[in-house]
Amino acid sequence: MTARDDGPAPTGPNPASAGPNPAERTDRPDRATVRPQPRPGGTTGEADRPAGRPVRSAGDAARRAGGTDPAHGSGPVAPSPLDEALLRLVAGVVRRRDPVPERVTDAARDATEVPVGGRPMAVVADDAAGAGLRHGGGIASGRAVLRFALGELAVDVEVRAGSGSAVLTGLVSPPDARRVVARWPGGERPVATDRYGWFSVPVPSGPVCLAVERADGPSVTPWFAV
Amino acid sequence: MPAPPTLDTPFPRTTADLADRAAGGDQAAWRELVERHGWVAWTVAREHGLSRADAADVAQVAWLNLAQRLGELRAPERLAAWLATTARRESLRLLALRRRETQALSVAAVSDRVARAGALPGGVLAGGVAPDPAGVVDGEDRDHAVWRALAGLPERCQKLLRLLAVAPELTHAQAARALGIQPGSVGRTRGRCLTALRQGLARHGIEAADR
Repeated sequence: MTARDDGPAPTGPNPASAGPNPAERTDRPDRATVRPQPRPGGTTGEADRPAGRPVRSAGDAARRAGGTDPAHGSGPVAPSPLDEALLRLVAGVVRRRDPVPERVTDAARDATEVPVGGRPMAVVADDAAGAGLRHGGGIASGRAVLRFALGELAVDVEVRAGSGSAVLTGLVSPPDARRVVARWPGGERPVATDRYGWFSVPVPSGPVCLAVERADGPSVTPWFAV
Repeated sequence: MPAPPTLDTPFPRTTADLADRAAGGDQAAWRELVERHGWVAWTVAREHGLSRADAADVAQVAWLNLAQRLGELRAPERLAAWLATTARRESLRLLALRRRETQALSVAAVSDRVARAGALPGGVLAGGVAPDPAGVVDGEDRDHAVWRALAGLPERCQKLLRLLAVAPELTHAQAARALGIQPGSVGRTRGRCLTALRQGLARHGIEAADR
């Protein structure tokens, strides 16, 4: 995972370098991504510099572009009133044309009621996202590879997607897990690991996570989409 | 105003404050976060070309993870950017996973794209950007014209403007990263995109600075 990708991700699912440090055993595996808190829109030089440059096209375009990235506020960029009006127009159309399905909003509201069920592991490699690519497989192959870690525990997972379902094949190391439980909204499926730590479990398409049950209790991966 | 602020106060809470409260089990604060940032993950997924079903899964993953990790958020004021980054990563995985199925689904995917890109209600493609008759355009017609004007822009303009429009809480750089656009040029890109959109709208009979 590149430093660029780390920027906006303050926690778990997007850690860059928690993995290589086996001594690290923490619920904050993204320690390495911590940086001085930027004021969004204000201090991420990459965004400000170009916004401040003149735009070559129309003069008023330059004025607008130059005035759109003020170094204040807690997130929103404050565009000029004209830009704001135009973006509001676009927002209205997009919201009407491609609304967020109600079930998505409902699921989001209910997300806090889903039990966490263990100590959270971090994603340390995700080949589809171009992070920590080791297997070289993911893109265009119909499969994806992820690696999760927490302390000494690591889980590699290969996802093979079918139609409406997927198979997760994984390796737990060290190979001392009692079992692995694949969880998804509304269901779960436990599976034993073999003596080398291998497991394979079919899951429905959609959000899934894995709970790895060991003698010292369960650890859970972040949710990921398959 | 000596009363301690509650969610009912007219003063909007900061996202960081809401995240803190939600992490402490405040369901009203969590719902407010969902209300406020409910468009980010969905829109990022849709702008990656995912179907509505896959985009729904991506959005759900983003919110499940946020709920799972809320107490660990390092910079809760950047929660929207966190959702956007998560959504991009999940979208890229689904794109990779679906690629093998793409042949079978390409027809559906194309028609979905066509629908988003501005098919006419009757199903006829709105290919050209012929000027509409001058005059007032409103309601559905106006939506349609705006959509068509958007569809006439370069792809990255469309994506950037749509995302910034529905998720104004994102900075330009955050929005660009979530869309895989080089953030170095995003300020200029945005200005150019808005200018191009104004011109497109004018061709469709909509005053650019419509207010």
